[in-house]
Amino acid sequence: MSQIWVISETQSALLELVAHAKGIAQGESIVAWAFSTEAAQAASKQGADQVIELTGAKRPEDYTSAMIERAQSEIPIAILWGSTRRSKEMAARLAAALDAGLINETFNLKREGQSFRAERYIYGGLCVAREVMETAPFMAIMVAKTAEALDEGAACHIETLTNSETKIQMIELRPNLATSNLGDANVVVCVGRGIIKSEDIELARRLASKLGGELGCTRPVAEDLHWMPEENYIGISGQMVKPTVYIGIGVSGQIQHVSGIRDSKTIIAIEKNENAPIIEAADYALVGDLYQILPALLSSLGA
Amino acid sequence: MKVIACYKWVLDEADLKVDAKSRALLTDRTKNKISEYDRNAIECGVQLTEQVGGEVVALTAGTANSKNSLKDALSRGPAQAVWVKDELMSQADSAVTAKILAGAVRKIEEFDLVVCGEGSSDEYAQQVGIRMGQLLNIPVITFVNKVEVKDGILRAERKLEEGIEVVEVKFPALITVLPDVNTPRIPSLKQILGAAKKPVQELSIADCGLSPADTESKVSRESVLGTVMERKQIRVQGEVTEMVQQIVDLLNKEGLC
Ligand SMILES: Cc1cc2nc3c(=O)[nH]c(=O)nc-3n(C[C@H](O)[C@H](O)[C@H](O)COP(=O)(O)OP(=O)(O)OC[C@H]3O[C@@H](n4cnc5c(N)ncnc54)[C@H](O)[C@@H]3O)c2cc1C
Ligand SMILES: Nc1ncnc2c1ncn2[C@@H]1O[C@H](COP(=O)(O)O)[C@@H](O)[C@H]1O
Repeated sequence: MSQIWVISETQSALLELVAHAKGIAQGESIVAWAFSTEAAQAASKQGADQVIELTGAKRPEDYTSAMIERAQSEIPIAILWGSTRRSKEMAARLAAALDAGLINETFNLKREGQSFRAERYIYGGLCVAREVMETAPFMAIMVAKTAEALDEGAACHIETLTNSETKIQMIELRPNLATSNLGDANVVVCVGRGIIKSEDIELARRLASKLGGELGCTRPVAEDLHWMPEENYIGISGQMVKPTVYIGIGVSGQIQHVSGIRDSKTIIAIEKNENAPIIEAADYALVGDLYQILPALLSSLGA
Repeated sequence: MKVIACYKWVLDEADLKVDAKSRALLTDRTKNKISEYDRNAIECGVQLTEQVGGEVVALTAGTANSKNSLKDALSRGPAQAVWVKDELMSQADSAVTAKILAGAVRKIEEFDLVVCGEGSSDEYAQQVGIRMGQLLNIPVITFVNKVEVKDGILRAERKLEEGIEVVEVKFPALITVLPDVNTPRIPSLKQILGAAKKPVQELSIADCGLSPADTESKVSRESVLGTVMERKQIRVQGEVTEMVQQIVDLLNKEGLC
């Protein structure tokens, strides 16, 4: 029987992918690739028809050759991936080896027989592109949290696979302990490069906590300046937020950032440049110096 | 050591507009630029060769219009450029682009390292570099934010969701870099003038060894529709205290204070 594969090194994404696969399956069996016993067991009970558990290697990517080998003999009709950096690497390698198309950060996936249609953002989120693929395997990296894990049922068979590559030596993994609740926050205060010193982020943090919200930042504040953890940056390549109120402070509002705040109910900007794109993307733009406006706002809120 | 730095010549998304009615993408006043993170890729190659010796070859594939990119790229430090020129590039998907670039790399022969951006500013498909590495059958290290070369070994730090992974690999290899790997230099006038004298090798897709079947895209684009966002666009100007009062009223209305 032909197959649809789902692959992710995180359990929650794997279970979402099984649900996506169920949505497009037309009689194919769903094969889940899991990277831990726990994930393998969960997938085996929550919708997969077959589970392959990978064990023995230091890094998920080291199993890519094994996946390629299996895919070349099996030719699954579709392979769906989770949206993490490791998965993106594995997916692109598999796509190249199989000479298949691969759609990044896919949503609105639809199938008609052998043709798959999906949407994705391009130009930093300025446009939605609708793409079609007609040759198997169809490969896509699915946007996270766009499906719900299926209910538990009877467990299917779990096969284990151990062959891995060793070209790359793993020296260490320094775990990242930061987490972010930005996606669920009712209020998001976001700092951009308009903030002059990292200590000044404290002012924004006080505003966020007074309003019962979370503090986020733009990509350069996290990546170039390292003033906040990576998990906190908002935008097309970071966190997508949907608060009641978003307040951008010294954020210019380039499209890649604005794409991540599009679903906010009200957007407020504190920005001194009246030509900055955030002014048009905002409901209320306070045009002025954040170093005057922010302290005044804090004191009038008693924060 | 010889480094190949891949860059893409893209439309500057900051100039792009969307027609509010038809939702069509308006590109008429749009300039081109070197894709944002590819400037980091070029800088990464240049810094590594400054440290251990060698040279950087800049590699791009594009339509005739991308000719203008060559001087820009070469002013950033590479010793020479390889330019794959073909009108087909306006439609090539990631699979085709990667095959073309891998073919061009094979023509460059002896190389140690290929550096790509983590994703291109326009497509952000996050795959062309990785595909190239697979096609060239060399190890790939993605999402690199720190890199060093010692005794022919490349040590890289990858920024992943779960933390920083440190890995080592022998050459030849391919890496894709994040913007925080370095700060690209601003070319000086002398470098800009010097760039015009640097050699450029021009290749066709056929020169890269692709058959007509190889140039067929796997993914075809059915439509591109601009996104529109309805916003009030109210400018709050004037005295700081008045501005702040308006916002406090607004937050009050939402029950936030
Ligand atoms: C492929 C790709 C993906 C990307 N993904 C993301 C993403 O997911 N998220 C993201 O945020 N970015 C992303 N970016 C980067 C994005 O293009 C912008 O560079 C970034 O959002 C700009 O951040 P910023 O607004 O903090 O900085 P800047 O653009 O430098 O803006 C700072 C603003 O502060 C204002 N300012 C300065 N001083 C003051 C003051 N005293 N008072 C008030 N205002 C002041 C300035 O006028 C300016 O408008 C991406 C880029 C690429 C190429
Ligand atoms: N046409 C091209 N010419 C040269 N390099 C490219 C081209 N397209 C993509 N790349 C490289 O591949 C990386 C990833 O691109 P993408 O897969 O489109 O996000 C870019 O950052 C470039 O380094």
